Amino acid sequence: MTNTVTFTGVSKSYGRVRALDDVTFHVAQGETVALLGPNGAGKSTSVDLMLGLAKPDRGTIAILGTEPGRAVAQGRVGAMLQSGGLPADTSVADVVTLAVRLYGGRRTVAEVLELAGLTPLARRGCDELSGGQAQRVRFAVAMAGRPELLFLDEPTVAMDVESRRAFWTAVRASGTTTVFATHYLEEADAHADRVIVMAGGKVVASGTPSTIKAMAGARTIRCVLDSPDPARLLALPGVLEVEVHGDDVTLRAGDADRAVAALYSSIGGVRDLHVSGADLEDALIKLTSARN
Amino acid sequence: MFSFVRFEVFRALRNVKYLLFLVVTPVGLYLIYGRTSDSALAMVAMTVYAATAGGLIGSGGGVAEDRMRGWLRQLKVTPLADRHWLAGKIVQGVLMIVPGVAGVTIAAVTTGHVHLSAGRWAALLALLLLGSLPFALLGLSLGLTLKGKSAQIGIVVVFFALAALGGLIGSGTMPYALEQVRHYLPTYNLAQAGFAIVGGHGPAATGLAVLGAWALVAGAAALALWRRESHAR
Repeated sequence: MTNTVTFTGVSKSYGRVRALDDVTFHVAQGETVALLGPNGAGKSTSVDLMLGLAKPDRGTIAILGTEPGRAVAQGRVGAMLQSGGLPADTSVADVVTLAVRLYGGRRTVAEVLELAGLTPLARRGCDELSGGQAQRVRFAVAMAGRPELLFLDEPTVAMDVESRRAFWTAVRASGTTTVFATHYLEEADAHADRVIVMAGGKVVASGTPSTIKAMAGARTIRCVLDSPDPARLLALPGVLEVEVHGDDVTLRAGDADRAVAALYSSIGGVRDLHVSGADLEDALIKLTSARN
Repeated sequence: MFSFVRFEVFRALRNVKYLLFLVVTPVGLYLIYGRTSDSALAMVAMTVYAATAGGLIGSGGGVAEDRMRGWLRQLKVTPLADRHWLAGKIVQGVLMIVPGVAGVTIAAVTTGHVHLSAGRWAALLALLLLGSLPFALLGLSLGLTLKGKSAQIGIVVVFFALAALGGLIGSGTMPYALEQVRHYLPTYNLAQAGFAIVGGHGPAATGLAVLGAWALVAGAAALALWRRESHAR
C-alpha cells in the first residue's frame, strides 16, 4: 500500500523546547488517522511540519510522494489549522471564492458552500460568525481544492454537538485521506481508523481506537480512609495502582464501578469519595513515563 | 494571480471607515496648514502624509491584524504563490494611499486655488503614485515584523517619526544630527521631489535613488518575512 504521509525519525525544537523527539509514523492512502494527546504533546508541530510551515531539525517527511511545501503549492493538500483565522472586511462568500480560485477552480463556490453547510451564511461577514461557523468556513477553505490529503488540527473545538456531527459526516463523505489532531479520546474513537497517541513530543502508543481506549480509559478514585493498607487496596477487583499519603488514598482503576463497590463492601469507612473520569492527560503521562 | 489581487481590492474598498480616516486626516491638516503657508507646498506635504499613513497604518496595520487573527497562516497552506501575495498586497497598499492623495489634491485645487500646468500635475501625480510604493512595502514589512497588539502602536510610532523627521508635520527645523538623518528618509525625499516639481524644476536624482532603495529593501524584506511567516507562536 502506498503511504500518503511518511514521517520518519523527525525531531524539532523551538528554542530550548523539544517539541518532537524522534517521531516516526505513516499514514496510508484512504486512512483516517487521529493524532491524540494533551496540549504540548507535539500534535500541532507535527501538522505544521507536514504542511511545510516549519522545517524539521532532523528526519524526513514526505507528503503524497513529495516534500510538504511542494504538495501544498500544487494544491493537493487541504488544511484546517488550529490557529488559522479569517480576515476582517470580508464575507463568507469572498473567502470561499478566493479559496476556490487559489486551488484553480476544481470545485464551484456553490458546491463548497453547500458541502460545509454555509449556503445560508454566504453573505454574512466573517466577523459576524460564531466560533463554530468560523470553523466551517475554514473547513470550506480546506476542501475547496478537492484535496488528496486533509489535515485538521483540533477541528471541532468551537462546535456544538450538532455541528460536530455534521462536520464529521462531511469529512467522511469526502473520502479523503485525513489526519486530524485532537485531545478528545471520544473523537478519535468515533472517527479514526487508527490512533497515534503522542505525549511530550513522542509517539507513546499507536493502534486501533479500541486498543487505545482500553489503555487510556482508567479512572481515578480518591477517598479518605482510616489507616489505609496499600496491599489490601491493590488486591481489590479493578484496581491497577494505589497511592497513599496519610489517610488520603488515590486509586487508578480499569473498572471503577467494581473497584468502588469492593471499596465499600470489603474495606468500609470510606469518606469523601470522588471518581474522576477517564483522565486522558493523566493516562498519557503514565504511558510516557512507562516507556522511558 | 488576479484572484488574490481582486480579493484584496474588494476588501480594501469595503473598509470605508479606514478609507475615511485616511482621507479626513490629511485633508483636515491641509485645510489648517494650507491657509497659513504656501498652499501648493502644503498640498505636497499633505499628500506625502497621506501616502505615509495609507502605507504604514492602512496597509501595514491590516497585515499585522491578518497575522494576529491567523489569516496569514491560513493563506500559507493554500497554493497562493509568494509573488502573487506580494502583488496583491502592493495593489491593496496603493489603494489605501490613493484616496488620501486624491482628497488633498481636490482640497488644494478647490480651496487653496493651486494652479499648475497640466505637465506639472501629471509629473506630480506620477511621482506620488510611484513614490507611495516604498511606504506600502515598508508598511508590509512592519506588519510582518511587529507582533500582536504592539504592532499597531509600533506602526503609529514609526509613522509619526517619519512624518515629523520628513518635515511633513511640526516646525521643520531640527538639530543637526536629525537634519542629517532626514536626507535618508522616504518622507523627506518624496516631499522634496514634490516641491521641486511644483517649483518647476525636476526632482533631484539622489532623492529618487533614496526612494528606490527604500522600495527595494522594504520589498525584499516583506517577501523574506512572508516566506518565513508561518508561526503564530
